[in-house]
Amino acid sequence: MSLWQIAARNVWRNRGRYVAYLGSAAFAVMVYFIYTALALHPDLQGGYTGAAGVTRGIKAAAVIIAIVTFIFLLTSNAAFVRSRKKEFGLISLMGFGRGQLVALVLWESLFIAAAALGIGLGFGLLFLRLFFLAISVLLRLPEALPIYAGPPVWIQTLTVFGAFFLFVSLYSLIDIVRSTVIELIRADRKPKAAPTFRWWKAALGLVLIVAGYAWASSPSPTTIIIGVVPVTVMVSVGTVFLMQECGIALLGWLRRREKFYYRTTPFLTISQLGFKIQENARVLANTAIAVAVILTAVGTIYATLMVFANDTLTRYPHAFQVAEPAGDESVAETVEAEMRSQGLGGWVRRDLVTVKGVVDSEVPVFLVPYSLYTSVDRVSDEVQPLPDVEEDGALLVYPYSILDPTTQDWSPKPRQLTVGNRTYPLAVAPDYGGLPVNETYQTRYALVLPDDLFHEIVGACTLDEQLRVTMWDVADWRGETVAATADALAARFSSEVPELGPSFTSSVPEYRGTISSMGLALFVGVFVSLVFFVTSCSVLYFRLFTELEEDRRYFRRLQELGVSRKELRRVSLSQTQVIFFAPFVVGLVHSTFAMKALGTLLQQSVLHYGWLVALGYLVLYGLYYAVTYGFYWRTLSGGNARPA
Amino acid sequence: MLVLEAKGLTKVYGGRSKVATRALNNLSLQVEKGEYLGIMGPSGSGKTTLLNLLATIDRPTSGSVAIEGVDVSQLKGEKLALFRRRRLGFVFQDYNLLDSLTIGENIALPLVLDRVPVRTIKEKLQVLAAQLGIADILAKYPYEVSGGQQQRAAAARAIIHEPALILADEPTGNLDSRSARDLMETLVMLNNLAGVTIVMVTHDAFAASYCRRIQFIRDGQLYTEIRRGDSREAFFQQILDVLSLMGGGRGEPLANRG
Repeated sequence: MSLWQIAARNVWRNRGRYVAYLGSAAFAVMVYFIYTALALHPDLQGGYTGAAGVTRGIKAAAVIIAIVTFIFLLTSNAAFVRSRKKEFGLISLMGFGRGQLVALVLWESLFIAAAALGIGLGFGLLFLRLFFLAISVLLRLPEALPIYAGPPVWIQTLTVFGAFFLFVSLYSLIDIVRSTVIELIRADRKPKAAPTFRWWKAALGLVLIVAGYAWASSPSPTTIIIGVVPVTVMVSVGTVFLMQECGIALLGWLRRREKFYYRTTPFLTISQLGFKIQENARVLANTAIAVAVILTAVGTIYATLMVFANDTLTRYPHAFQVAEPAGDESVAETVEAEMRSQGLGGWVRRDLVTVKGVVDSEVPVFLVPYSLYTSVDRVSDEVQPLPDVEEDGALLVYPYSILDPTTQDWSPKPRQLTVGNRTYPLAVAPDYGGLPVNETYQTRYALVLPDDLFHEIVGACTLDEQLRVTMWDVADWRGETVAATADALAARFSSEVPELGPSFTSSVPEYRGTISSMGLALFVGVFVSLVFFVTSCSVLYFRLFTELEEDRRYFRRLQELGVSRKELRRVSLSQTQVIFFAPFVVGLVHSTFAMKALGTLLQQSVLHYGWLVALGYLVLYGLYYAVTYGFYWRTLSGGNARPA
Repeated sequence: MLVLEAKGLTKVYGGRSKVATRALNNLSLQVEKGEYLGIMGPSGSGKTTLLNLLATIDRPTSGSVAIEGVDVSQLKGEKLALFRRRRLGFVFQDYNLLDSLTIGENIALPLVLDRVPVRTIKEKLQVLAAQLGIADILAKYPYEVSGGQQQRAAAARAIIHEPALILADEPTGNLDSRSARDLMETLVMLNNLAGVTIVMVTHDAFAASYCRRIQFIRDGQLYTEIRRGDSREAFFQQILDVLSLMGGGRGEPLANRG
């Protein structure tokens, strides 16, 4: 039997251990391959507007995937080698030379790498079409992107990942080659250190995390923007310290609560967990950080998407609105007929006759009476009073919201409103709570006036100058029926010359457009996060499996002492659940503070978007746990209490 | 009163596909309450198989094992586990202490499994540890104490729940001669004072000389039985004589320590 055959058998026999490693690596290869194919797609190289930004984003995503995969391969390979030291020692004892040992390990790596690349590229090719279709829809391309996977894509994927695999296996060899045979053979006999609590580490971790949290909770957006990098570093380092010390302190405390501790499940679970946490503290902390990064990244994209989408409502508060010259015959009935024919009902209609004006001869505005301003549902619930000053007070409503209201000068300024050839001196305060009417006829601002002054100004205008604005609000405006109605109405009124005929506007297409353009970022980001997720979970998976032999011995002993399978199952379930879900909880808390900071930046609470992302992630995570535990328990409980 | 009664035990390893090995052949055994029985025999004689059957870890191909009148071959799963942890105590060659529990916790384990209140556990633990001279290492972990101390802790664990029967498998196998003597004296003390019934499998003629009765087995069958008189030294000589007569032990040193 030659070396490569031994290597092939080794890999095959250790397949239980390799499956998660292989799966994660293959998944990373697949996503990297697809992203590279997208980034290098000839049709996206400046062919479409906005395509440059897309390819840049995808290229960045591919780089992140490569980095994450590299770290993953490095850590998991180190763990593999550690768990197989005894095997390598025995092989050396039987007379394998160092060179042969190196060759054996390299052969094994080659098989794994070939399998990972083969599977990854195969699935990548399989899902390429689906991906391209999805991207084309998201980019609203006129037709689906043609399939493209030219030689550069293959070369880049193979080079990057081939180099990774080679480097990682060479790196892992250093440890083996340096150790003596006896060190290798004895590697698994080193007694484990008893869990000890080091207060200075706990204190340092606590200080770092609390300080990080405090910084992230600052009410000032500027402080938060400065804090992004330092807080991330502080909390990450703090997590590494605190995970271990807190875990040990907590378990020690439980151990002293004797009434609780001296029962089968806690007794067996807690005593062993202390060792497990001590041994795996780094992995658990890394997983917690990965979870925090995933939740925060996806949460941020999702929250920004929703906030931007809702921001369109700043400019388009009404589901439907028609503006038309007051002298023309009204088209309101046509609009309502269309709404009825689509099955819509129960709308709220508002009518307004108004004029356009210019503030300080540079800002074109719609005039709006204060009574309408207070009755319309705007983005902001806050209704400002008109400035109470000597001359007439007015509010200038801006078509956007602002980041930091504390930096704003809210005091009324003297300004001049011009309507036709008449001018009115006013004291004008700003308002960023959203327009009371949809922006239309290229007029993006609204000026809110006292009702009597408004009627006086409009009354002084001729019928030609006056505009009739009709607004409809419906309850379920995000629904498909409303979208269909909006499309139908937009099609009907689109042919008119805007400055002369009726102008139709709707919040629906604006809202949906924002969602679909940000959706691309979400789509790309989600797959990067999936790579993160798969790799970090796999590290947990094979930590579990490197300790499997030890756990098996432990369980055998307990079985011999008369612990039943049911009790053993309870113990193993609670142990693995802590190992899996403690990092999730820590990551969730971290990301909650991150979302809180994001909320400060976006001037609104985005926590609920974060919860939603976390919930989705929890489902995936739970699935991964269930599968992993299934494998683990089957291997653990297989066979009799004692080999006869 | 009979604590243990094994009738016609036969164990055949290997099924249809492999060549079958008959490890035990129609072996019967009785142990009275308060007895200290040694089981000796050369390698491959079926000692370990016998102990596994008595320990209910393995099932006989035919025959039955009754402990305190309960036919344990009929028990299954949960019930068997429950019976094993309530009525049996084990001392193994490699101590079999759990590394993640302290010595004290290891000893208390059978009581914890049986949902005994904490206070009772603590009291019993203190008394027993004092008796066995391991009171000062209760808070340590197994790898922090010597092999002899570990084995005494294992003995304490085997008896703390007052089982019907203690099964010891080569308990001195990993111990130096001094620790071995200490352990044997401990077992004798438990046997004399507490009236604990002990069945010990061993290679070690010295360890065996502490027993009251020794059952020799060879090729899966009873070979002979000897009982101790007043002198342990004379009994030791008697054991050596039987071993040399049996001849099967030629490959092994007489006082093999594993």
